Amino acid sequence: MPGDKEGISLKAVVGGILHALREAKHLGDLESARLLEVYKKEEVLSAFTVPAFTISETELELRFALVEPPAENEGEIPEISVNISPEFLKGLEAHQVSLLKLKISPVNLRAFAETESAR
Amino acid sequence: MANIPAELRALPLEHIIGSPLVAAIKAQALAANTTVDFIKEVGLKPRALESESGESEDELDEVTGESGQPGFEARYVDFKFDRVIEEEVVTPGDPPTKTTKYSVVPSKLTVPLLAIVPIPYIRINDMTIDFEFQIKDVETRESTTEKKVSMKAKAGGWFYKVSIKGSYSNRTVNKRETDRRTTLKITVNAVQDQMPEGLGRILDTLNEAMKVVPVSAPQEITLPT
Repeated sequence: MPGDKEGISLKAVVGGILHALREAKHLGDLESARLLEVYKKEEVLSAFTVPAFTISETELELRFALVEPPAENEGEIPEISVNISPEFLKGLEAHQVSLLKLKISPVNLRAFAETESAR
Repeated sequence: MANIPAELRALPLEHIIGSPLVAAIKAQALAANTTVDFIKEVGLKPRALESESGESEDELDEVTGESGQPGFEARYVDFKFDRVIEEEVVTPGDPPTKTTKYSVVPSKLTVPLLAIVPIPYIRINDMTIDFEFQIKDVETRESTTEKKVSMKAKAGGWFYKVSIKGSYSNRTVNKRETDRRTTLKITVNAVQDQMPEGLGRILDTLNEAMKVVPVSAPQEITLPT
């Protein structure tokens, strides 16, 4: 895997997880949109609300080891290179493994701004 | 792309999170369908065909709507009971006397079945997806943009001739490998939900239509002293 020796960018890992959450929500929205059409056609069912869910909160723990200290370039976010391979982490001392805890909540954004829809 | 056999190529993380989400939405839709079936089977009946004389026939018109009035009508239940009416009668005289007269009115109350039977409507209130996921590899998209610009300038008389050549290339490298060994624990909390607004209004209308109707003339009774 990439990251065994050369490491992988921490922001790529976290970004990948955020991307996965967005995609997961998108999958749910697609199903809700499909059901909306089904509910419209059914007379009695049209009285019901179309099921739709949101991911209210996601908590995750990410264990990693720093591969190399972050390079500090002025005015730029430092690139942190980490190793997240379970096999690699197993061989390390406890103090060498860092734990990142994230609590992710959604932000309400709509495809169309309110000012657009009000026109 | 990393050289991974297709059968070992892992389930993307978005599917691990998204699939239970989609499953919950489908489950909620199934629950709504069950409610609809319950309403149709218990609370409604196919509208009866009406003959030209206006009398209802035994045939039911559920699907084709040949009578021109397809669909369903509410199923009612009749409750028969005797209603006791108390009445004070004043007999003129000096002094006038007051007597209490009791009479029984055989009555009935017609109630829509939907108004007295609880309608099951389950809503998924909360779902917790709890899983351990080993990231064995991360997809990295490396996008390299190369621009080559060369410029030639040529002097000639009173003007310069300038030609600019550019080339643009975009290279994307995808690598992905994730682990399938994932244990998933899903906790679903479902609650009995309130009726949707539309259905609630229908029930309110049916409730308002309920009234006690006398079925025969009142019969006077004498209470034992």
